[in-house]
Amino acid sequence: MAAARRLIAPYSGPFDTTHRFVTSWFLPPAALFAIRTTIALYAFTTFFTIFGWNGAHRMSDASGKTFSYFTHLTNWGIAFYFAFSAMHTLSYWLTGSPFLARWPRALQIAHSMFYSTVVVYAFVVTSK
Amino acid sequence: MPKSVLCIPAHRPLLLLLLLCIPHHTTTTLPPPDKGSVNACLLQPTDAIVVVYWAILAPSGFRSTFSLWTNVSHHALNSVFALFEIVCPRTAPLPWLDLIPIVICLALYLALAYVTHATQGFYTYGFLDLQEHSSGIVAAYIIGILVAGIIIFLIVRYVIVLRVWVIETKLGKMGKFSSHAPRRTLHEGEADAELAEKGVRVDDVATK
Repeated sequence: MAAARRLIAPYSGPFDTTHRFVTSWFLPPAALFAIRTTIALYAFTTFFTIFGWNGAHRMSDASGKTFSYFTHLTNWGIAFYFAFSAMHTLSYWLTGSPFLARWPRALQIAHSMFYSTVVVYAFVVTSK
Repeated sequence: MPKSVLCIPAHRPLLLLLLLCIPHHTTTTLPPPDKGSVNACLLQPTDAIVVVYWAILAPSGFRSTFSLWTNVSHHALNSVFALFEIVCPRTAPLPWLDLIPIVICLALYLALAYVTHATQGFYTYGFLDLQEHSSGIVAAYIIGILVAGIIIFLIVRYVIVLRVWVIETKLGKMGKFSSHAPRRTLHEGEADAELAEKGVRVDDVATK
């Protein structure tokens, strides 16, 4: 069916030939890398600060319970997305070709889907 | 209680002393760890300026400052981060196929919420509570969130379409690239795709 072919069109053929996932229209790759790294570090720091604070106040089981909340799970996704995309941006900046370009197709598709879930769920969380 | 930060010049030592001596809450020393509150006065006398920093955080106060920060980080900043990823990189509009993992993960989360109730005895969200609400109401909320997810997907997708149209088609900004040459050579189909994306206008972004 033509509709089915259109559905898989973004994932058929060569993947991201112009490196859309690791470049910006106005930020140089170095700046994009720096911002993504900062966001990833901030996101991870937030989590571990919360866990540490809970631990210090004898509320460690509250830390375990956070993994049942969509907000927290989404934020873990955000943290890892920015970490990986920073890594891809760094490799692209330094060599002209990101790790993503050299990875198996399944992981490339996964990265694209990861991007979609991050940008959508962040707003689902806020709207809830 | 909000935190206070005071900078007091050294020529008002009496005022300084008075401020240091007046506690706002019952404790003036660090309480045992299980109380979860911090009350600290820092004094560093110098010739020029004495800076008094007092963070008076009663149990409710500290929790509200801490919870204010975690709430901002987890409910407001995540949207800022997502908005950054929508506006700043050159990503293509979200593929329609990505609706499938988005819906599946939402459904998996729903399952997790009920597993949490079954194993730990609490509901993460009140509207999922089947003891409080009828099955019909709960189902309506669940469908509502599914619809909200799809609508947000559509909004994000078309905001990206708009970004690509404004930035690439209208303004012609095709991107800032690495100065290093790519390692691999382009294959046949890729050369056309590269031209289409870097040099030649993409006619219909929405069909991707």
